Amino acid sequence: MFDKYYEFRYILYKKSEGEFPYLREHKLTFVCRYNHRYIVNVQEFEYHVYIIKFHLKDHRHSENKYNLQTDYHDATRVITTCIEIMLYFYRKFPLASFGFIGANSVGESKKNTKRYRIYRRLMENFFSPIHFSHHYYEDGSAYLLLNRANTTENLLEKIRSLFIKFYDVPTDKTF
Amino acid sequence: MYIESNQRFAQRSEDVRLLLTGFKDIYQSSKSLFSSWLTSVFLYLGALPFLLLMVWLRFRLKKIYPAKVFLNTKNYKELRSIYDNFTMWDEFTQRAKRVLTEERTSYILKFYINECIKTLALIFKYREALQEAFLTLDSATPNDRILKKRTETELWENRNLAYEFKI
Repeated sequence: MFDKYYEFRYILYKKSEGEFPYLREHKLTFVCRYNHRYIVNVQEFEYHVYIIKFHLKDHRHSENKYNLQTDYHDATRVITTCIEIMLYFYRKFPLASFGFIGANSVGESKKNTKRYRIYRRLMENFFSPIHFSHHYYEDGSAYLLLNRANTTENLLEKIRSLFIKFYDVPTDKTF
Repeated sequence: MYIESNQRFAQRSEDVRLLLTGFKDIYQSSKSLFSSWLTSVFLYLGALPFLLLMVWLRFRLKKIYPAKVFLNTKNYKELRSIYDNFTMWDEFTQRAKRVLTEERTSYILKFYINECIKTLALIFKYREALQEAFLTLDSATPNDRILKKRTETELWENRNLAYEFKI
């Protein structure tokens, strides 16, 4: 498990347009063994933060594209491919920090989702604490791999404010 | 996908443990085979070679174990496994120290145990160096009230040893 992945292809990047907070969105794609195409969106934020998202191409027009399940029973390979994409970005941008949110399935609470629990486990297994420090926000099912090589002052706080702005992460005041 | 048997240190530790416990077995069996007096004679005769062996072992260990440990992706998994394996030495040392404090322990036996403890002290020194290296990872990790940090120990204890780190 988690040792095989699909060959992926970098398609393009597009710069942020107005309402979107990120600097760029990189698009990558791969085809699974059942001939379904997946789209991986890697949103590049300030401070070399990359947020990974993926969905089935067939779901691209759906508002819930990140929440839908495919039922192809191919999650391990698909997720491993996303991990390989993270490594691809890390090799390209050695200061890259990575974040993701384990989206809730339809009808599931946003807190500590099933996807989050799986991704979190994979991060433990594949990303040693040597290059990345691991951070989590369970209520929002968010996970962050903070690059130790990035010496930006108060980086974690800055990334947190990004999360607050663009994801469902509460501000300090709510705690 | 399988658990790698790359723990050379674990094997070395096991060898040393077998060596030390082997001495204990020799002592006990010779006591039952021969008289206590004859066993003492053997022990006195063996003291010098044993001392030399321990001195050699300490010399080797000093060379093997660096005073400061530098972690990287390649050595992290192995060193962490080594660190976990050190727990077996704790029990051994405690037992050895208990025997030392007993009044009926003969002088020659105390000599042997002391030599073993001196050798183990080097291993413990290395463990401290490892511990310091792992703690450095935690101290270098910023914490946040919302994006909480995960400690190195927590990450290690939760992971599946069958997997290799990708980075």
